[in-house]
Amino acid sequence: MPLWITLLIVAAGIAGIVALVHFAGGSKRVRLDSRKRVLDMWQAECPDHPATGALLEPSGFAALIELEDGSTGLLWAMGDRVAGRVLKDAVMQEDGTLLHIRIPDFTAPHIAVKINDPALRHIWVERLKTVLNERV
Amino acid sequence: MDFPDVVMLSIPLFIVLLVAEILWIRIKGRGGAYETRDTATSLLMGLGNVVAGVALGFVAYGFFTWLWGFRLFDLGSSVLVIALCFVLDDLRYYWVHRLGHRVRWVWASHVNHHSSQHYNLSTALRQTWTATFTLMMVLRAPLILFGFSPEMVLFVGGVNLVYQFWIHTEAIDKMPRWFEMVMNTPSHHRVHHGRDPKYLDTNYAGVFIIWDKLFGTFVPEQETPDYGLVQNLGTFNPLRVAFHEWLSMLRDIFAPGLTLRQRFAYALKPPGWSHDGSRKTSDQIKARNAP
Ligand SMILES: [Zn+2]
Ligand SMILES: [Zn+2]
Repeated sequence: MPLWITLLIVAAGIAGIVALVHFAGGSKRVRLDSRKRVLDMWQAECPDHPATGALLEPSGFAALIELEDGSTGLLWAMGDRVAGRVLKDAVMQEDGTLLHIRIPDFTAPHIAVKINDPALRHIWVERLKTVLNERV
Repeated sequence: MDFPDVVMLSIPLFIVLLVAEILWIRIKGRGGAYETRDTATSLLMGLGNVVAGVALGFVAYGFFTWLWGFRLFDLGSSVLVIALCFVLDDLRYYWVHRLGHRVRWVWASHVNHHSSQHYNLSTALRQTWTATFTLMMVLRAPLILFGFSPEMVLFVGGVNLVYQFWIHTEAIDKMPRWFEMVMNTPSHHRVHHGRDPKYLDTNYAGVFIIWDKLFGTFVPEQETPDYGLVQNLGTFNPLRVAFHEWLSMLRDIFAPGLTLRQRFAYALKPPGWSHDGSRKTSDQIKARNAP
């Protein structure tokens, strides 16, 4: 079998299965919409960094976590699951309603949080400023 | 004797079972979960594993044929010899897998198999691209030197891998008691994929769970495991999934101001070891969470 036909079959096979998962409801995202839930999830993800509070945003994609030691964490949706990181040496960039947060972590390089409400976005930015390395 | 490439031949079966599991979960509303991007990453990791095998397979194969020149016996390829080879190779698999969790150099390759927070048949396909660099093919040397042909050793290894496909599922709760006692099962292997402290570094078996019982690494499934890594990935990018631990290990090895001994330790000690104690190994995580 020529290589290009093999590649075509492989690409179609992968795309087909991924499409099937999507249409079977696999693209549903977790919603970080309750403080209690967010704190429980953070505790499960990052048990070494006890949290004292959480700042949510209405889309439920991400939450800023206040940590016992005064630092700040970020919990965000990875599809129907979550990932969490303590924000250390992060860089933030405001782009309209988007906040781009870049962490020097090869396994979690970039998280974009969309916050439409300017007042809430301002609170996020001010909170983030206190932990960022520099502001671009 | 010619042996078939069982892994390649099994791909159509893998696809049929995968589609069946996706539909079964959708219809029944239980038995696991699939996530779109997670599935895409798993499939691409599987594809990359096949490509890496084609590109780098000659290294291990060349090594095995070279060793074959020094064999003590030629055991031939009777059914009995193949069966014996299969069992001994499964013991080999147990130790490669155990080293894969206990030596960071090997973990750098194996970590990606554990990088999904899901547990379904697609997770089985989430395989390493960098196995050749771990040099774990040396653990097959005794088999070949003793007289099992390289083709047979690769064949039984392939059968072992194919067996492990179906155990990556939440759709099956428990198999019959006698089966759970001897064989690796969905229940045993779910535990292996758990990031719960008590489940870390347990149930290394490939086909026969007896090795874990023999060497003291067996833990039965109690509560449903929380799947994934101690620190879960924040990316679905297959390139990052494939290489992240190699990068972070190399960064540690070449960090300024370390002794030579510490640099070697970063490669050879368990994942989570650090020269200043700033991170935690699975043993430390277990100790902290012990009841
Ligand atoms: Zn493993
Ligand atoms: Zn597995």
